[in-house]
Amino acid sequence: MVKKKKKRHLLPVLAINGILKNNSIYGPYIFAGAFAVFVFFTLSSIIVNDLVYTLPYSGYIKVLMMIGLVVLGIILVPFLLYTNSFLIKQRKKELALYTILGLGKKHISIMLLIETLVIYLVVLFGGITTGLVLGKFMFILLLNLSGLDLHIQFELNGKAFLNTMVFFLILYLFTLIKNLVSVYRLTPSELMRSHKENDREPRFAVLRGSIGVIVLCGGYWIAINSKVDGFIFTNFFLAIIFVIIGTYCIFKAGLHVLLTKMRKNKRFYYKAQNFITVSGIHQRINKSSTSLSNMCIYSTMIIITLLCTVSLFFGMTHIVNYRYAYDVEMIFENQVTSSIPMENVKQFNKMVYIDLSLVQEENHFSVSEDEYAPKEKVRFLTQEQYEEFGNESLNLEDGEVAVFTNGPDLNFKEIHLGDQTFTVTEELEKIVGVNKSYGNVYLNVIYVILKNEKMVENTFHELGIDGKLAYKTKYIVMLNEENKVETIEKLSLWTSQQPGMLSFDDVISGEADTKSMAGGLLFLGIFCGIVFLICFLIIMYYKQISEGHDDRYNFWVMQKVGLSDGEVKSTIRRQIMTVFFIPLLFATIHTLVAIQMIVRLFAVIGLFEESVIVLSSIGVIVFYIFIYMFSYLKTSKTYYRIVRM
Amino acid sequence: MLLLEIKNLDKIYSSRLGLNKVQALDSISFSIEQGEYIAVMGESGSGKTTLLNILATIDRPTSGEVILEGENILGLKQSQLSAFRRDNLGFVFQDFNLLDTLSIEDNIYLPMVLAGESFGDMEERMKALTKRLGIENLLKKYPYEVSGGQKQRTAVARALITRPKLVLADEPTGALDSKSSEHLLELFSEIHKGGQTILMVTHSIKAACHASRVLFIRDGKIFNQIYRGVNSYEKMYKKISETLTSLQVGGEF
Repeated sequence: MVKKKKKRHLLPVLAINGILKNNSIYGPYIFAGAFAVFVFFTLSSIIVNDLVYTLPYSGYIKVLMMIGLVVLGIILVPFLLYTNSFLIKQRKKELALYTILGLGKKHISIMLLIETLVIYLVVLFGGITTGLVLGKFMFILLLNLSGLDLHIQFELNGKAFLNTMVFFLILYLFTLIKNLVSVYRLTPSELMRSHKENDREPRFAVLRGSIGVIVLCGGYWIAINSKVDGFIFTNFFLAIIFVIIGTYCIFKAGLHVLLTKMRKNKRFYYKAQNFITVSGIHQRINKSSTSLSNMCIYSTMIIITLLCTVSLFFGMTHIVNYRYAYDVEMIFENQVTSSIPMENVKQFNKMVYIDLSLVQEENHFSVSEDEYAPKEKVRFLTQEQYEEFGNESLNLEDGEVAVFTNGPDLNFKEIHLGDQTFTVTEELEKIVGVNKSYGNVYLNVIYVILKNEKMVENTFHELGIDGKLAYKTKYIVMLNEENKVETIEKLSLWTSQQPGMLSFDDVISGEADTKSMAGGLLFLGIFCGIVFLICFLIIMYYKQISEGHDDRYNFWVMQKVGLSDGEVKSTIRRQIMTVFFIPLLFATIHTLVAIQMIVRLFAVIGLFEESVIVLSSIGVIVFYIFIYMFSYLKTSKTYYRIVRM
Repeated sequence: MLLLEIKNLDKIYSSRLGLNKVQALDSISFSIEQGEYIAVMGESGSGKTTLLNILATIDRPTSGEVILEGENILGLKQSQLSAFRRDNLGFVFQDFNLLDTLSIEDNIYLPMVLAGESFGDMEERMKALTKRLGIENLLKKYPYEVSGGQKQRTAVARALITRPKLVLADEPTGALDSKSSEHLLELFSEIHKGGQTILMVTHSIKAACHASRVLFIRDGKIFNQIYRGVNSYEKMYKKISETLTSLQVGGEF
């Protein structure tokens, strides 16, 4: 009875001691966990706060925060499993000692259970407390970035607590199960044996490497060539998966092939520094290549997250400026009969037109019944309507058209509408109230200007569209800066009272809308960026620690056989430099390819200024190189310390 | 010819505040002739490992001199020590201290690589050596793939490849079974016959019997020494065990 009681106390003590004694490795693990809880909790709190949705322009926030939560969840699973496997490896000896001293596997399992529970509680407590303290500021930051009303309170909601608790409980249970399985599978002697054996040489390295290259190129190909359509996210996801798999394969096989080559070059290999470095990396090729690949993947994620965030921040005004060549746009089914309130109006234009969605093949346009066929928006207007809109006059004849697009130039000599052929006399540079951007590939509208209404009717008849032509009327208004908001409100009210009203859009709400979307993305970008960075730093730190322990014995022996202190240092530096740039190099290449896709995705939300994205990318990459070097130097101090203990 | 001279070596370990002092070596003096094979015996804590470490320049004495071919090695700077070790000394350890990252071949090359020798020279020496040591078929294997005896022979090859003036061996048979031990000791004798100077610290009477001289250390002092001379193996064995017994009961000679 007494014995049992003692044991019951012993296990928690051992468990807590296990964490405290290893605080240099458990510390970062717990910190990362707590930070993840903090972000998760904050995002959940925002999502469940119903008040947010009463705000105007807050539509994007919920969707964005949900996406953020999902991304965070997806990233955390492999990260926690990876770091956890590192932790348990570091402690195998200790656990083996316990088994030898008489703790059964059952006791060790209970100990691990207690440990996981303690970590879970600490992480949860730390993260939620931070969330409670900082949540309000985070909320204000989000509202501020999104340009939303600041009067809303940050509400605490039981659902956010519950979500966070359950999600992380599942995560940590996962790690616990993994640890239990690995403990049950091993015998004490296996546990005791320090990882002395070399990693098995990767089999079929060349084949594996080739597959890696093919998969990676496949990923790149998808990223470069995928079009913005319904499959864009599937493609994006596929590209990411391919690139990740490709990276792992290439790192593993490539490193092996490279090192084997180095070893075969005797003159190179049998030089003091190369000798130790090359054999050292080759020994733990699996571990090295995994941690290098992880570093590469996380680096890529950090760079891309930051890049998108920064691009968006600087691109926001471009989005609004491009879209709003006017202050107000009102579209009606027909011409409005009542008079428009004209006070405060600087400029006023009216355009009558018909929109069709047509299938485009080069300069052939035709009607398709297929709902899913990709279609282009083609806007027809007559010469007269075009001129009435405030443009210069054209002198079109029968069989002649003028064209315009707000995207890249069409460069058509002639245009086929159904079976009819028209000569393109002119491709217009501009149309009043529409901005042109060569980067606009996806949101473009093709304007076709015909001689007169009769021509339009004939054309439509040939295309197979009969009956009364569905003309729309668009008014665009430029306003004086003075009392702009009030005028817009007035116009909006007036529009809503008119029969046949189709839409009302104005620059103020457009700005607010864009800001709320971009602000939400910025907010997410900042926090996901920080979470990725923390993950990355911890992976790097653990890599240094585990390699430090691996190499300590080697350096100790070599010092005995005559390696001087200075040589130890320069060898370590060599070792670090050899693999230092590989993840960074690949991350940069991945990013350069991803930029193609990012440009296209940004075009969907109306950011066509590639220069913004390119400049942001350069800035972010340079910035990241500094962060990378800084953290490598910092964490390699740990390596030095362990090696030279 | 005199190779090594040790004069009045003292080593005092003291606790941080200097309250507890332990005299590990107490004015030890002896010398080693070129080509001698010396075994140092003594109980645990007698100071034999401290002595070995000082000769290996891993540890420094409190006072005294160690003179190798007329040069006081205690005068060497910290930065010169590793080069000195590399060029003049060869080491054989009880637990082999081979690197698992390197193949047997590369382990043997290690000191020469560290010394910056050309690969051609190394290869030539290695081939001759490994043939003598009977490990020429293991070169591509890794330390964890071979037996203890083979590991120790690899370590011997590593110690000899630089053609050191002195080979220091710390309980070289300590981790080997009796058959491998026997084999290794024969190897040492053979190397000794080839003119190599060896200093070996050991617990094993069997091992000590192979030496040309046996030094006994007790409480940091040289207690006695026995020359092999023309003594037969059996006689040597008896003499050593008698000395060890008197060492343990604390008698004097």
